[in-house]
Amino acid sequence: MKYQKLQVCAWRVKYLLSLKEPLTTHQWRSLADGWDGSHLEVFPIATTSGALYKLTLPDKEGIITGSSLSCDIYAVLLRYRAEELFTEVMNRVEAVAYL
Amino acid sequence: MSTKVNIALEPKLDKGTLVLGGEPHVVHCHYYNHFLQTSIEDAAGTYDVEEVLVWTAQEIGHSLFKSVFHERKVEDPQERKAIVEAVFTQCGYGKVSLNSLSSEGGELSTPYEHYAYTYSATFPPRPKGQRGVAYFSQGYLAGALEAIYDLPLGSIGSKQTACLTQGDPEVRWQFYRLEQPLPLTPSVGEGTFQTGDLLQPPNTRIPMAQIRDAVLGLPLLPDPETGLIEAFGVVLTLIPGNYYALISDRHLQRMIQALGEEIVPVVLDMLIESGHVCAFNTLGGIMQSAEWDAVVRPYIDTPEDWLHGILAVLPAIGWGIVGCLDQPSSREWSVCLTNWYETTAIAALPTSQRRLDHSPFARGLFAGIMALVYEAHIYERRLTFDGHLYRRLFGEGRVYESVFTESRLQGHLRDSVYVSPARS
Repeated sequence: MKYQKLQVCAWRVKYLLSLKEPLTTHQWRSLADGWDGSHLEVFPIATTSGALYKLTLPDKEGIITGSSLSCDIYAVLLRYRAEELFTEVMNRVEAVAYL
Repeated sequence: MSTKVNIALEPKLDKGTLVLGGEPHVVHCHYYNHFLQTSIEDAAGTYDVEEVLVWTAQEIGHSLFKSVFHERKVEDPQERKAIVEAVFTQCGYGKVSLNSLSSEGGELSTPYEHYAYTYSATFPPRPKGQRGVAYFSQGYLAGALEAIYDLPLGSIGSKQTACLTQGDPEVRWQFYRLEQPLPLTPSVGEGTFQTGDLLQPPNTRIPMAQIRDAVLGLPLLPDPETGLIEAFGVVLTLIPGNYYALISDRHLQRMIQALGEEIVPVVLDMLIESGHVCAFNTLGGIMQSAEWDAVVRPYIDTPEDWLHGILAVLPAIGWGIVGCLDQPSSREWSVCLTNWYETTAIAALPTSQRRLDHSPFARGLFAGIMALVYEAHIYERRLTFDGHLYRRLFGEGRVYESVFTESRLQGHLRDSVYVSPARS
C-alpha cells in the first residue's frame, strides 16, 4: 500500500492511500463496523454507476473518502494527531483490504 | 438554534448559478477567503476597510433575506430568525442563535464562525486590540436583522467585540440602531446575467453536462455541530458571489481615492494572485479527491481532459458557464465565460460606480489551472499542497499569464480569456 501527504490545511492533513483494488461496499462496511463511533455514508454516482464512500471517524478526528471506481483513498485527519491517526487508518484499511 | 427549516439553493443550469433569495452563491474555500480578506485588510491604515468588508455583506444580507421572507411569506420575527440561522449554517458560515437580538439590536456570540475558526487554526493569534476577522458574518447578520424587523437598509450598526483569533473562546458581535443610516445600497441580485449552454467540446470523452449534474448531486453539507463544510480537504463556504465581486471593486476604488492611479497595478496583481491561489487550493483540492476520482477521472485520457473536467465542475459551484474556444494545449488556452459571477455583478453597477473593467480573479484562476496541469503535472503525479510546492513553482513569478480579450465591462458582448506562458 502506497501513501502520500497531499495537503496541510487549517486543522487537517490530507493523505492519499493507494490500494491494489478499490474497496468494495462490503469492505467499507467492515471498516466502519470495526471502528467504534465511526459513521459510514454511501452516495451513488449516477453518471458512472459508481459509489462514493465517506467514513467519519469518532470524535470528528477525520474523514476517509473513496469510491468504487478508484484504488485511491483519501484520509483528512486532525492536524495535531495526524501521524498517529494515519498509522491507525493504514492498519485498519490494510486489514479490510485483504479480507 | 433551529435546524428544522428546509433551505436549498436552486441550481440554474442556463446561468451556471446557485441561487437563494435572488442572490447567486459561489463555493470558495478558506484559503481564498482569507487571502482576499487579508489582502484588503492590509489596507486598514489607508482607509476604513470595514466600510468595504462589513457594509457590502450588510447590503447583501439585507436584500437576500428580504427576498427569502417575501418568497416564503414569513412575517413572524421568530420564524424569520430560524430561517437566518438555517441559511447561516447551510452555507457553511458556522452556527448562530439570534434569540438574543431584538429590533433594537443586541449581542450575539458563537464558537463557530468560518473566518474566525479557520484563521485561528491556521495562523498565530492576532494581538489584542486588533479587530477580529469575522467581517462578513458581522455585516451579513446586521443586514439580516434589518430584514427580520423590516428596518431600512443601513439602520443597524455593528461591531465585533471578541474573536477566536485573539484567544477568546468565541466570536462576539454587538448590533445597535443608528440615528443616521449608513450609506448602503441594495444588492444587485442576479446582476446583468447571461444565459447559455455548457457545450460539449470535440476531442474529449469528458461528458460536461453529466459531470456538472453529478457534482450538483454531491453532498456539500455542513457539520451539524459546527456549521462548517469540510470537503476536498479544505473548508468551504457558499457566499453570495456579489460579495467577492463588490469588495474587490470597492477596494480598488478606495485605494485609488487614497493613493492615486499608481496603485492600480498593485491592487490588480493582488486580485489576480487571489485567483491563482484559489486554483491551486480549491480546484487542486477538488482534482485530488474521491469525488473527482468517482465523477471525472473515469473519462480522462489526456492532460487537456483535466482542463475540460474542471470547467464542467464550475457551473456546479456557481461560478458561471465556461467553455473552451479552441482545443487547449500547454502553449495556449482560450475560454469564453458566460455569466461569470464577478463581471455579472459589476456590470449591473452604473459605470460611475465601478472601476474594474474585467475580472482579475478569473485571470489568476485560469492561469493557475494551466499551471496545475502543465507546470505541476497534476495529470501524472499526485501533488502535495503544503506551501513548498507553490513557492517552488512560483517563487520567481507565475508561469502562465492571462488577459481578457473581450470583456463585458469594456462594452464587449461576452467575456473571453486567453492564457499563455508568462513572458520572463
